[in-house]
Amino acid sequence: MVGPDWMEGAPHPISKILVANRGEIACRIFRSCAELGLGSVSIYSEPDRGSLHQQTADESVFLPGDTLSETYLNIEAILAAAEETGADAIHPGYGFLSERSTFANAVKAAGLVWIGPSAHAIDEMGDKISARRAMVTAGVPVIPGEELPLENPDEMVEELVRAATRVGYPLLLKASAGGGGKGMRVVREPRNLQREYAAASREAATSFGDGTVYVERLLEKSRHVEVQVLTDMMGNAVHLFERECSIQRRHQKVVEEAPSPVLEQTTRERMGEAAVNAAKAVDYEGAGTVEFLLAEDGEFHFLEMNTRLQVEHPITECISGVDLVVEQIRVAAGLPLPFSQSELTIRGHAIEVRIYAEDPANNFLPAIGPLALFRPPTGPGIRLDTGVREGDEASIDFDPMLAKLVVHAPDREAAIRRMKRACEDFVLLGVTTNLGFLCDIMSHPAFHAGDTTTDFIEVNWPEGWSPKSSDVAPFIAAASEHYGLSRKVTTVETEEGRGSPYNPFLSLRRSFP
Amino acid sequence: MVELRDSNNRRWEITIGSSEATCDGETFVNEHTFEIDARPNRLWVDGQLAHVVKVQDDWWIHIDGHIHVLSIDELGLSGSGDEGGMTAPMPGKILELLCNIGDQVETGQTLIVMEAMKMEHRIAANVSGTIAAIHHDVGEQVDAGATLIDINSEE
Repeated sequence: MVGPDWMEGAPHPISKILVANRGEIACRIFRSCAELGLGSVSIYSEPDRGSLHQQTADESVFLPGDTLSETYLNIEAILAAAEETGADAIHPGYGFLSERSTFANAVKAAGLVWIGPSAHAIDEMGDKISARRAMVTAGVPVIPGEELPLENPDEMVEELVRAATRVGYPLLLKASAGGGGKGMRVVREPRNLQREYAAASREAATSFGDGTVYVERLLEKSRHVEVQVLTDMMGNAVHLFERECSIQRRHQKVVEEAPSPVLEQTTRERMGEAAVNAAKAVDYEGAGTVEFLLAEDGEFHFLEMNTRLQVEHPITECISGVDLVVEQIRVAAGLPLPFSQSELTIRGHAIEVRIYAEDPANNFLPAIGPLALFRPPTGPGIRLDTGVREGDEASIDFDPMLAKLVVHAPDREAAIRRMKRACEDFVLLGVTTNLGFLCDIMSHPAFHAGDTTTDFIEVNWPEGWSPKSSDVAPFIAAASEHYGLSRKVTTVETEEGRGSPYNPFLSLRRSFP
Repeated sequence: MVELRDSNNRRWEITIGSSEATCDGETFVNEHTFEIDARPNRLWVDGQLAHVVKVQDDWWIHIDGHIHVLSIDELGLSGSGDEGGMTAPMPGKILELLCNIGDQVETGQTLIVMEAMKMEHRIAANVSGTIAAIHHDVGEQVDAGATLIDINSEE
């Protein structure tokens, strides 16, 4: 028999999973593999040699090359790694190849189990225009405004200006293949249209290899509320309630919470139903997220569907008690969902903050440096999802997100107090992070009041944020210097790459240092 | 004596064991008590635990839920207020140069578009004046702190 006992009778049994990703999400998936009795395989490129994700898996395969397209985006090399290690399923994580239908197809063509939705669902939802069309057909409300695909920046200027005038200002230029704030630009005045269009198109081309951009009306004072859905291959579909992810900087989420502080039960039910309909409209399989904009008047509009696991999935796991990665694996193996909608309830309140290596006092510019001290908070209701540990470096090689700090408590106020305490207790020194800023968000009256619209940061810190200065800190530094209190922080460069020349963990399997 | 510069660019002169210290020349009373134990990277300040670590010339300090960075200020190092010199705030690639040598520019005007971590960042003039030198071309990779442009500031 293939796989652990619980897999018995599954139409597509799985015994070993290769995660085509890195960092915290790879580590998180490996933990579920270990708990399910499944083998795990990591892939890693040169900058990730000796990283937590490489070492957390049972086995790891090195992918040579300097660019992402040679490593984490290299379908051929990833399939070869699966063959070499005998992995029989691939989990794509988020980002990278997770929403490429060509990858889903290649995995299946290689005779492996693909832990994700069908190529059809990825394509249908991945193109914002076909997604919108499918939603209109399925009766899911969409954002008012006009779509306009633009392909060639130089030839499309007049068409762009006409479309922008029809849509009206302020408007949003979005990369059709985009996500995560990349290739997305707000245009408030006509004179900035062409400049922002050129930037959006270029960012889209660099990040997604597709420069198509479109124009949409910007709904201000709105909230970003998304619904987690889960469907199996038998057509059972449930939603696991909503997450509110309104607090963003540069269209990248910073704070997420579940449930939303403002959603009424009737709206929650309507939104959940719309999300399930959206998933059913594309014959969705597995875990997916339907994003909505919740307008000031309480109406919601379909934004997009993310056909993958979301970064902020842990808060849904906290309030629903469902391990989404376990369910993804079960669904991919062909097993039915073990619960129905009526068995799902919201328990308490969960908040996630994303800890970025960036300078909140300087326009959130990415920062680099060593994680010289990295002592996460502990205690009941605290979860940390990270791919780094003390001694690692925050580098420019990858995304600046260092960790996701998640708290769960009986109610929202208790969760906020717990998160504030957790952020304050987090000793993370050696690289500039947004921890101080996150603490201030947790103390802000507008956050406590649930006034979390997508312009939260601009409205509450119009002059930007600056850290509190301290008159005792100089004395601490002087005393530390005087007594020589620091262990030396050095980075050893060896021929094999970063890290200490002798590392006992490199020879250990499944270590959780 | 330890000489330090804080994030507000104030200069501190502190001698451990002395009851006085100066900040930008002004005298302060040093009433703080410190306790250290055998563990590295920590000390008690007025009974409260602080975590500390030194990275190059910077002391990183965590106390009371806040993080502070103090730089050891060695003689001969000029402050960060480099007159009219604009430096790269992070490592990255120059995408666009929006000015030429001799151009008259105003504070806040975008001069350079950089790319780092797949995001574009606009680098704006930190002073009004005339562009005296441009040190990098489009497509070049620059390190954090690299001088990008010199501006002769107008009085």
